[in-house]
Amino acid sequence: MKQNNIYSSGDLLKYFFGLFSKKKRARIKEYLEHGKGRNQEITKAVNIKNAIDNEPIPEYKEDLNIIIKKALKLKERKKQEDPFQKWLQFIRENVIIPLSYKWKYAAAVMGIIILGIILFLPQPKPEVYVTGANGDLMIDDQDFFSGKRSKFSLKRGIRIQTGDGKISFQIRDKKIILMQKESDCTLTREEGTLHLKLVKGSIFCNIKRSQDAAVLLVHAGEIQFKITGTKFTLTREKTENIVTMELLEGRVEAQFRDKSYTITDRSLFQIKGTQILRRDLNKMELKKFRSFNEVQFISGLHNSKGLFIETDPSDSTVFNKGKAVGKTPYFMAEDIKKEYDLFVFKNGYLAEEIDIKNIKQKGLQMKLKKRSEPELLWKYRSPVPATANPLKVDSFLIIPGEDNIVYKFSLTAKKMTWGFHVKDKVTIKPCFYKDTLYISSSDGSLYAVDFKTGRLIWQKQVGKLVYSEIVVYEQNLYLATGKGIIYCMDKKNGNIMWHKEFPNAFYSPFIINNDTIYIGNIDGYLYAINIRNRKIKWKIQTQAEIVSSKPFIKDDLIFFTSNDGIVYAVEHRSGRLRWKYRTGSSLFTSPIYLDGLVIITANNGLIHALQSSTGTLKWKYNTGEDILSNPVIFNNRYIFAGDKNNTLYILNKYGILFSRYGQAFKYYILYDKNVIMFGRDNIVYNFQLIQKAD
Amino acid sequence: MYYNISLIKSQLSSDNSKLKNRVRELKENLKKLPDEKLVEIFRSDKSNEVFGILYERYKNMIYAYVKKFLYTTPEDIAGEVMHDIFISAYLSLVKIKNPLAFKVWLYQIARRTCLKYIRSVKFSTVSIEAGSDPSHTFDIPDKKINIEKEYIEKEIRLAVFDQIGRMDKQFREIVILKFVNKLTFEEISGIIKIPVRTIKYKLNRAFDRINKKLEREGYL
Repeated sequence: MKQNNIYSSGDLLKYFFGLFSKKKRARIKEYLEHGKGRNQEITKAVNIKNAIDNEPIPEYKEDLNIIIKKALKLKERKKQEDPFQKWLQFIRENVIIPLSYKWKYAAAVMGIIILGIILFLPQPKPEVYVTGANGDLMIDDQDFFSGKRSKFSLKRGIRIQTGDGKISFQIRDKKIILMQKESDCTLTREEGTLHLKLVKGSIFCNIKRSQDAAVLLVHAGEIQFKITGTKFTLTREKTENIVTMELLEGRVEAQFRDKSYTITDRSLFQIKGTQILRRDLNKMELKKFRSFNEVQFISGLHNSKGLFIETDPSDSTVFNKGKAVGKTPYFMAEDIKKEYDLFVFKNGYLAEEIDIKNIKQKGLQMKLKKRSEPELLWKYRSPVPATANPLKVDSFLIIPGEDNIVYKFSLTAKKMTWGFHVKDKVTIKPCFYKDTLYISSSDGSLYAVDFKTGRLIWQKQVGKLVYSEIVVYEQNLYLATGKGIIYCMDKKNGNIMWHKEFPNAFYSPFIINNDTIYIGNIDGYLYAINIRNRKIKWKIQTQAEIVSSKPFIKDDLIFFTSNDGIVYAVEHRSGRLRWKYRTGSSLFTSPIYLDGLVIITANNGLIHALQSSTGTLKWKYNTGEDILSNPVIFNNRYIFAGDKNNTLYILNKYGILFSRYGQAFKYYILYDKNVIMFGRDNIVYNFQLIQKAD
Repeated sequence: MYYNISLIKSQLSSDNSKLKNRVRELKENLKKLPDEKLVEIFRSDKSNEVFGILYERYKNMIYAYVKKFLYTTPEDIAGEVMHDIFISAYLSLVKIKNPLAFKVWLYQIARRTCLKYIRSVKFSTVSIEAGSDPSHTFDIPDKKINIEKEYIEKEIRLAVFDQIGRMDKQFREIVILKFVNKLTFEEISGIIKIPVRTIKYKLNRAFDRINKKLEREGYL
């Protein structure tokens, strides 16, 4: 006798929705009729099926006539706009559609024939690809700037003139050409060979060897060079009629006035009028440099120094001060080097910063590392999920759990060391100051707990609705409640020293600086209250409530946000408004500061960066999802922001995205190069975030 | 000659009422016809009445589909999407090839407009919080007297559709068409143009995910 299979509630759900084969369905049907035990599973599955089936169908109450009117308007508009379309539609409706029932196959065959013709037709393929352009350029007598169509075919030839700018381009079969400022050249293809005519200026070429006899013919005035596989720089100064060719590799044949010359590698060849000059580059102080570095040396002869950057993989973007300047291989001139802040980035790879001062070679070859997932150091399954932001103190974590116990977790031993019972849920981050931990739970009681042992020192009832974090300042504790009261308590025994009442509630966190409390109220005012005499120094009005924004002070300004979507910068001594900035969406987060920028994450997913002194917008970054949590600064260089879907965005101070991690986590703590994430599945993860030494 | 005006009037009025009754009968008969015949009538007559009957039949289900597919949109945008669907249906009903497939065709249009809207707004996943949007809490009809059971059902429903809203587009489509609109596998394969076995396979995978999450939250 076969045993009755025991089915889980998940299987039964699948059965009810018809997902199994006939045999399995029959078996489950038997089990449902005669199966013993496990009735719980059946009722669970039935409950869910009923819940889904009883989903009420919404009523759509829109009058059909409105829809028909709109449809007819659309039709009329289409007809008016395009009589050709109207003619087409007429044909389509009355000729093609009835025919298509029968002539489907004929149409398909016609389509295939047309495709074949298109594929086999000789098409002009683009041969020239522009890989980097900077400044004023003209291609084919039209202004060229990045963003324009950058592929050109050589059928009719192409003329490139650089004014203030430089350009690097690539011909098919990997011939790289760089043009310097104020040059002018034309490229044509005649009978299979490439012709390059240089009118003025200087170019650098890197051409790979191939089996063709003559790959490139270069003309400069009366001189013709035949090039097979070389690296060289060619300049022509029209005013003095000087043509110089500096050859780095390979061999070149030159023809000038019916005489031919061979130029050997690592030599310089110059024609001045009718005089010919040759120089051996080896004799100059070159031996310690490698081949591609010579560009710098070479162009040094013509007053253009710079740095040549090559990366593996190539075609990564080079950024200077947050703006993209070109793609590798990239030649960076000396004048840009003076104001630099360079880094190289390619999608899928880690960004690399270039520290120019420490480069001893004159050229740079970098290998980019692939961006891998952050390395998981360890993970720990906690007994309960966390209810509030955990706190990190040295090598311990304080985690308030859902079972009303506050745990202390040791990061080195990966164990809970003690747990402290509270009466009600803890929803606010606890506060730590000199060996004591201050916890406030949602029933209004405030606990002071010894950090090492977990024993209670004192406990006080403060009244309900404490939403803001506890602040410790000069031996006193400060609290603000939802009833509008600010308490100042002695931190040794919890006695209330004084309190100040306001008519409306305090929901947002506050700061204390220089004997004043800066706190935002739900009536829209930000108050500055003197601790000593408890008087209001100044207050400033915003147009909506201040609910969850913690201000911060930098120099003589205090920055805060309010629910009306505006960022305010106020002088914290006098209360005078310096500037304000409208973000255009509601804000639930606090601003942070990085390197002269004030950074805000708005609810609609935009990250704004403003200049702290004037409030002008420097850059905006769109994450695409709502952001409800505060951004964090890491290592003084990176901005971390997490959105509603819990993907973590890492940006640098120019707003360029370095990486993006998506994990289902609830809270995260950053320290050193690590991040600790609290997942929704009660597991605490510790990741090592950035692999290279930062 | 004298005309009995009152007689004529009475005759006319009676004819009028007869006409009215006759019209009402015809309309009721029209409503009973199946989709294919209504489409044929519309093709020849192009009368709005016929389209109105089809509209009344399918508007609620399509509205449920749109609402669940675009889980976070507010009501006015869902209304615009519905407008677009029915406008394009009205304009292109003449060109429909196979009158047997009206239901599937209408769902194809609905799916296409929803995906177009999604692409224009550029969100690939939908993140929601259960019960946050008031338009998602429907009025539960008063069939049962047991309030506790209703409440539990509502909670289960919110949890299940919460998970569905978080899934990828491909899973969401199939699950919504199966759970909310209650279409058969053949109809779904006609709408999305995928063979029936892959639909079953995908639904299986979607089920596994939903089951896991329901287990975690204690419903299963």
